[in-house]
Formats: sequence, structure tokens, C-alpha cells
Amino acid sequence: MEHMTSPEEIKGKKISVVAIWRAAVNLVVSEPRVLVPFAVLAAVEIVQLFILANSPHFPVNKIMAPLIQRIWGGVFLHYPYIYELLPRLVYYAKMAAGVFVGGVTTAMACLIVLQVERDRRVSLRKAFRQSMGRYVSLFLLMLLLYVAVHYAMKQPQLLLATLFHGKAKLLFLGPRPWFEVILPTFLFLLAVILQGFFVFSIPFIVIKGKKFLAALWSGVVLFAKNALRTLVLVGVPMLLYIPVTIVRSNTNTLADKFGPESIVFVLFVGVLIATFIVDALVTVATTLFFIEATDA
Amino acid sequence: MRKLLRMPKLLTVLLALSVTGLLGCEGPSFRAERKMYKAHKLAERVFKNPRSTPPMQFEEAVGAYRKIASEYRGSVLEVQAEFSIGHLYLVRGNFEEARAQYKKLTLDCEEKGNLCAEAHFAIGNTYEVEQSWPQAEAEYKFIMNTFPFSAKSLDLPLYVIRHYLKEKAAPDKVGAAVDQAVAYYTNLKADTEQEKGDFVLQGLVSRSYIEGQRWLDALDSLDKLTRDYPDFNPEEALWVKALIYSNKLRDKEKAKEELQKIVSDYPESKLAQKATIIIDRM
Repeated sequence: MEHMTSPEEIKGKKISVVAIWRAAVNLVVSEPRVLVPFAVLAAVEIVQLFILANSPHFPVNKIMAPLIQRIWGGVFLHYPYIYELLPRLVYYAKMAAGVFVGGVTTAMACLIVLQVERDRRVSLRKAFRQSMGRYVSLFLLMLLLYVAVHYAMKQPQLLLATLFHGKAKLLFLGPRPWFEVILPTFLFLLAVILQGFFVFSIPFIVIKGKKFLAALWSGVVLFAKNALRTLVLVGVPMLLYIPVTIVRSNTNTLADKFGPESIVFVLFVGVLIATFIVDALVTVATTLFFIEATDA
Repeated sequence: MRKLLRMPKLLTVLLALSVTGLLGCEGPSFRAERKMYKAHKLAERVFKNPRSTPPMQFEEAVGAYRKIASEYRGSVLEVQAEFSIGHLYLVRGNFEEARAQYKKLTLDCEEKGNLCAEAHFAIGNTYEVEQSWPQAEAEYKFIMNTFPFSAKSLDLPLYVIRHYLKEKAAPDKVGAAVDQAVAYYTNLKADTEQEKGDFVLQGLVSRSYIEGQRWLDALDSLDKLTRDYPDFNPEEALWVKALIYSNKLRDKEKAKEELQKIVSDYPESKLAQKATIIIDRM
């Protein structure tokens, strides 16, 4: 397989982020099969979305109705309140899909990138088998990642709310700039950093064959040594998700204008962008970087 | 590459099938809720700007409710839709049409009970908005006499007192409204068989005095509440007494006495903790 930017161009130099990006885009264009794992994960998430959107209806209601009634209250099984709850349900479902399926699909993508870079025949089946062979480590890693992200992303808001308690201003600024500008920006940076900590652990598991803890540690070390470049590789694709985040934080206005069902559409687009585009770009770019940095 | 192209097609077919299948299972009540939501959205435009809404938009909203009413005859949705049509006429200032609409809901009152009381209350409201208080009050008294134990009729005597206070009526008119409320609740007590019912009505007597700002009568009524109904959180009545002494009669000593009674007689209650804090600050 030929690429406009070959690994040799990257190798031997101080690995340039631009060169990595060019190689990543060329790889996706010339070998679109690298997107298959992400298409599978996106399909799983979309099916989840439609199942959850149908929580009040038969047959999904047999499982979901008692659960929603118990946790959030029966009102959320009625129109239009189910659509208010849907983003939260989808968030939890995405976590489950990420832990159970996401590790394998990301590992498959890493292996496909490796196959392409080594000029081997691309075999999805082989990549799948190899990834499934490391399922336990991948599962544990994704579980740790989601728990860490879920916990860490909640803390800044709680801290800010505590600092603001009973005060009109904090460091000369009112609540609006803090909660609408500074907090979302900080949360974005935090998400990029957290992703950076874990992003090399999957290649270490499936490409280098390391065990869970060793892969986790090696990933953190590689990130620490190349922090700025990793953050750029992870952060740039994540910028694509910002418009979706803005729309998602204004679901009430959206529902008012286009009907509550429009929330399903926004979540659908969110899955396509987050899983099919952002995750794919981050994985391909960081795997290329990993291959060059570790001479895999 | 062909394999890859075939895969998304298969996924699309599977997705389309699952979506169609799931949407087909939408229950009739959910569909009805969606229709009602859409009708409410149409009505919202009228409520936001009742006088300048174009007639076409007004008719569209009324039409949506009428469709629901005819489609779901005999259900709660029919009632909601009929009420909403009445409200639309009311905000547009079409009082006769609004009353005619509400009157539709006053048929078969033996079966409907509370619902009839609500419909009559809505009729009373149309008179109030039209600045015809005597007719509104007549409608309210009709509710109180015809549906004596409905939620609406238990609230109406207090509503009437509040109306006179809001209109800054002469003190004798407010006083008369308070006396009528007290008499109404006291008469109802004769018809209740349960102690809890008596307790609720005595509580409403106290509320009537409080609404009418007759503090000494209110204190007597609250005394009766603690004395005659010791099983129904009497510390709450003591708390209200303390508030009246402190905020209305400016008698801090008496207020403190009531709070001390809460602490000594009901030390396990939540109010005892609050009372202790306030006593320490006094």
C-alpha cells in the first residue's frame, strides 16, 4: 500500500505532528477498512440510542420502564419528558458500549494501522481475533478510563459550585463567564489530558503484547515524554465535537423549536461525529505516532 | 472493497428494520400525549399574545384541541382539551364562548364530582376577568354548597378572603368573608366522621383567621388545634403561634414561650431543633 507520506518520512526525525496528520489522513483515504471497527461501534451506539428512545414502548418498556420509574420517576416515560432524559441514558449506554465493545474496536483499528504500515495484507478477521485474545486487558483498561473520566469530569463543576456558594462573584467574575466559558474550556482540556493518559495503552496491549498494568504504565510514560504532541494529536480532532456539545447543552431550546424528537437527531449526529470521526482520527494518528515512537 | 461497501448497506437495512419495528410499537397513550403536546404548542402562541394572535392561528389551536376531544372521547385527554379550548376563548376575551365551553364540562356532575367543581370555578374565573365579581362569587358559593368536600370548595373560602384583600376592600367586607369561611368550615365539621377530617377543617379555620389578619382569633383557633387534636403534629400549630407572636404582634416573650413548649413537650420533633437555635439567638 502506498501513501503520500511514508513512515520513512517520519522516522528518524523528531516526529512532526503535521507529518503524522498527513499520514493519518492518507491512511484513512487509501485504506478505509480502518474505519470498520469504528463503524461497528457507532452502529452499536446508534442501536442503543433507538432502543433507549423507545423506552416507553413495547417491547423495550418491559426492561426500561421499571428502571426509569425507579431511578428518575414515572413522568419520564411520558411524552415529551422521555426526550429530556434521553441524553443522560445515552451517556450511560455509551459508557457500557465503550467498556464492552470499544476496547476491542479500538484495538482492531490499531492493528489494522500496523498491518498497513508494515505493508501486510489487511485482515479484519485477524485483527478481531488478536484483539479478542486480549479482551480482559482491554475491558479493564476501558473500564478504568470511563470511571476516571466520569469521576474527574464531575469534580470541576462541583468545586466551582462550592466556591460560588453564597457569592455573587469569584475573582471579579460573575457566574456566567465561569460556568459558560471557563468551565467548558477547562473540561475540554481535562478531557484531552485524560484521553492522552490512556491513549497509548491499547497499542501497548495489542501491538507490544504487554499486560494490563504494564501497558497502562508504559502508556502514561510515553504520554509524559511526548505530552505536547500527544495533546495536539488528541485535541485537534476533539475540537470537531465542540459544536455538538454546544447544541447538546441547549436541548431545551432545540426541543422547543423543532420538537422534542430533534434531541434524538442531535444524539445521532453526536455518535457519528464522536465515534466515527473523532475516535477514528485520534486512534489512527496516535497509533502512527506510537509506531514511530516505539519502532514497533 | 466490495465487501466493505456491502457491510454498511446491511447495517442500514438492519437499522431501518429495527427503527420501523420499534416505532410501530408506540402505544396509543404516547401518541395521544404527543398530539396534546403539539396542541399545547399551538395554544402557547395564543397565550403569549392573546389579542394580537391572527385568527387563523387561534382557530388552528382550537381545532387541534377539538380533534383531540373528539378522538379521545370519555378520557382525561378530552377533558383537558375542552378546558384548554375554554382557556383560549378566555384569554381572547370571548367570555360567553369560554363559559359555553366550560358548561359542557358541568354535565353529569354526579359522576364527575371534582371535575364539575373545576369547571364551575373556571366559569367563575371568566366573570372575575370580566370584572363581574358578584356573579363570580355566586358561582364560587354554588361550588361550596354543591361539592362541599371537593378540593376546590375547601380552598374557595380562603380564595374569597384573598380576593377582598387584593382588591383592598373595606375591613367589614374582609371580616364578613372571614366569618363566612369560619362558619363554612365549622358546619362541615358536623358532617365529618373521622378525627383527621375535623383536624383539617380546624386547620382551615385557623388559616381563615390568618388570611384575614385576625391574629387573636387565629391564636385561639391554634390553641384549639393543639388541645383537641394532640395526635396530629401539634408542634406545628405551636410554631405558627410563635411566628404570629414574633412577626405580627411583636411579642418576643410569648414567642419564646411557644418555642420553649415545642422543645420541652416535643423534643423529638424536627421543629424542636430549629426552636432551640432560635431561642439561643433571642
